[in-house]
Amino acid sequence: MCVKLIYKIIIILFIGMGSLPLAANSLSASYNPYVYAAGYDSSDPQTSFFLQSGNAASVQYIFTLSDTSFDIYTGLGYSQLFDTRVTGLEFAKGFTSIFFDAGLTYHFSYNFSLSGFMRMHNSQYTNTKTFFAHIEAGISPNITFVSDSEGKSLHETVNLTFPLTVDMRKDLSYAFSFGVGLAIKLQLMQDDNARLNDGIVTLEDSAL
Amino acid sequence: MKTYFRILILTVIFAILSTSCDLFHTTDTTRGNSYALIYGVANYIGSINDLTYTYNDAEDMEYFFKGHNFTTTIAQYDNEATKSTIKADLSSIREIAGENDLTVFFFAGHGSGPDIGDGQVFLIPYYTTYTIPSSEIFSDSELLEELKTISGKKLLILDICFAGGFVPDNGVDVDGLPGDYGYTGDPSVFFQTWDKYLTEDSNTEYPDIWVIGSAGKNESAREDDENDDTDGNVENGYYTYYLLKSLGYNHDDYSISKTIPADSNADNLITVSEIYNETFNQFEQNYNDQFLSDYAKYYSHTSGGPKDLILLDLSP
Repeated sequence: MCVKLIYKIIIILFIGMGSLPLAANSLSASYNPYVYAAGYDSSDPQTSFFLQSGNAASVQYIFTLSDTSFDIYTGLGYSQLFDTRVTGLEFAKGFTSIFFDAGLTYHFSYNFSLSGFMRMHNSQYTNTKTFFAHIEAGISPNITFVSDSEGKSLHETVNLTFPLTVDMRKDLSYAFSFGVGLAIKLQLMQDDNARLNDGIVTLEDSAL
Repeated sequence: MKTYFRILILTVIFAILSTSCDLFHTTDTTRGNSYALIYGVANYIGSINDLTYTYNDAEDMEYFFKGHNFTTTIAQYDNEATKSTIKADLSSIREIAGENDLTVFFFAGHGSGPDIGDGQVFLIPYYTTYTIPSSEIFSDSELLEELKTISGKKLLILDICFAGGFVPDNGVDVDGLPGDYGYTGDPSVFFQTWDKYLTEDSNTEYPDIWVIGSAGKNESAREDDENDDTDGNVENGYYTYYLLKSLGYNHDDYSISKTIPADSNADNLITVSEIYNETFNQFEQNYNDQFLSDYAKYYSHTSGGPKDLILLDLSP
């Protein structure tokens, strides 16, 4: 019963995420290389923990909430984790993923924001026809390096991101990853009712 | 512009560093001994169930593993390959195998489908009476339990009908190929993966056993027809032929190439997934697509899970 309810909630969220682009007022593309630490139940102590590396890229629609310092976003992404040898006889398998993600960003200042996100992955182990699902949740401090937002209807910003995630895989006892990456945000539509793209809501913004 | 350039350089450097995992940890690459148990049954009791090239399959496997200097290679053919002999061989390996050792078990012969018994599939060694006695065959779980009690890692390679039934279900993975491709075609795996994620628990009953099976749980595997000159003339079971070819073995002159087609990333470490993938592609292009209609096609299956087994380490 509980599982069915969770299933329904995920499907509703999934549909909701899909409709968000209709209301979005910016688009971002991001890339981040990362290191993935994982462990599985094993009789061999030396293989109970291992490190892998990977890359992730995603495109996100961002919806700026009026009169607040919050953005919500949703997007699609692709990630690849590479094989890593863990013993003389074993590799930790790599896999490729297609994922949907959704998240919330709070802007502390012009330069700094913090995002919390959840990703639903559909993954396939490298060189096999085996698929699995998993959910990843994480936080990501973001530092804005470049922005040319002053008064333009189309502008771009470049953020440096440091995502730290927990990957809830059922075939592993635990897994987490950390990385660094670039998020290149292109503001395609200007919403005059939103804040002036400086990350801080002011009376001036509200007046607009 | 300078800032863009700096960020770009930093990202590229990090990407290069992060793809070289050896920087982050050291791996103990110690490998112990390797054992191969090989069985081929072509001539069953009577003649109605006889096969043609399963003997060749086992013989080629024997040459291959001996060529790669496996510590021990035991090969049994036809009436030598009974259940009691196989169990005795397994016991002898059980006595000597250690945690870092690898045991390969190969069988070419008959398999029996899940319509017999409780959804189980069966491996049919040589048997001694005209009706197949259940005491002289291995069910999937019986064989997996036998292998489980051997220390180290184990690889089970089966070129038999219904071999996919021997691939353990780890609870959370979804096989992208159905057990009966000819009837159901490609399945939709998206909702299956989420259904399993939300409703199933991980099953780690056989964490140290990898399986490669020549056909699905409800599919027959085929061998070359000696009376048909238009079907490739491989003189093997088709799956075994392409599996050995992917490992650089040539049935025609029994030679082993130093170039291994399965080594897709050229790291000299030949894993079960790489072997599966290369064999799958060769089998698909050279047999399934050439000689079989969609209805008759069959596909190999292998184990899921987060770990991959290194069958051969050919590092200089």
